[in-house]
Amino acid sequence: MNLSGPPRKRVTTGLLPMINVVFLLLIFFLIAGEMQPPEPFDITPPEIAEAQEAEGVFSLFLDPAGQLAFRDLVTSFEARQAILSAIDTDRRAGCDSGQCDTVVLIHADQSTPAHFVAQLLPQLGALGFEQVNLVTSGLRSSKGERP
Amino acid sequence: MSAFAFAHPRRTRRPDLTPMIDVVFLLLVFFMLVSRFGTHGVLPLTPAGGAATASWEGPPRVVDLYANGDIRLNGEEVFAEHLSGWLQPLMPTPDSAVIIRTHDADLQRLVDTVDHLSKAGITRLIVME
Repeated sequence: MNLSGPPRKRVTTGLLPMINVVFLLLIFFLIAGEMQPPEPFDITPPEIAEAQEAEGVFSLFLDPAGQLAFRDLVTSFEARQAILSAIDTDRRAGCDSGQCDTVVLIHADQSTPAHFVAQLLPQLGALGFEQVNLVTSGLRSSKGERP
Repeated sequence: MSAFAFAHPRRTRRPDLTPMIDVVFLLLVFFMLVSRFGTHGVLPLTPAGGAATASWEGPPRVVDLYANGDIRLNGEEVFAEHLSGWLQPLMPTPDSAVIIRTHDADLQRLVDTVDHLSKAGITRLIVME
C-alpha cells in the first residue's frame, strides 16, 4: 500500500521573474546609490534656497558643541590641530600620487556657532586649501519662516 | 532505433538556483542599506590667506552678525533684506571683498547672509570671528 500522497512536483518556473526583478534592483542600487561612510554625529545642515552641487574629497564634521571629526578621528575644537594635520597629511599624500584636491567639505550643524567655522577657514587656507564648501540641505519653503 | 534501452532516461539537469538567489538577496539588502541618494548642496567659501588675498580698496565694508538677528554694517544696524542694497554703493568693483564678523551668531544666520549677498553678486566674502 502506498500511503504517501501524490508525487510532489517541483515548481521552479515562478522563481525566474522574481530573480530578474531582484537583479534589476541590485543593479539599480549599485549604480544610483553612493556609498559613504556613516556620519560620526547627527547633523542637520543649514538650509539654503539655492545650492551648488557638492564636491570635495575631505569631509570635516562639526557639531554644535564644537566637536570635530575627520575619518575616524574625533576631537574637541581646542584639540583641532590633530585633525588639521591629519587632513594635511591626506592632502599631501594625494598630491604626491598626482591627485591634488584643494576642496574641503564642512558638514556642520545649523546651530553651530559660526565662529567655529570662521576660525577653521583661515587655518584650512593656511594648509593650502583653496575652497571650503559648507554642506547645506535643500530648499527652504519660505524665506521668512525663521524668527 | 534500438530495441534496448538500458540507460536511465536522461533528465534535463538544471543547476539549483537557490544559493545564487540567496547571495543576490544579500547583496541587494547590503546595497539598499549602504547607498545614499540625494546629494547635499554646498555653499562655497574662500578661506582667507589663500590666493584671493589682495589689497583693500574703497571704504570699509564690515558686516556684523549677532545671535539675536541683528545685522550691522560698519556699526549701523540694517535690515537683513536691505544689506546688499546698502553695500552696493560701498563697493568700488563688484568683486571687492566684504568682511563678515560672526560674533555669537549661528551657522544658519551666516549661511543666510552669505546666500543673500551672493544673490546680489557680492561673492568675495571674508568670514572672521
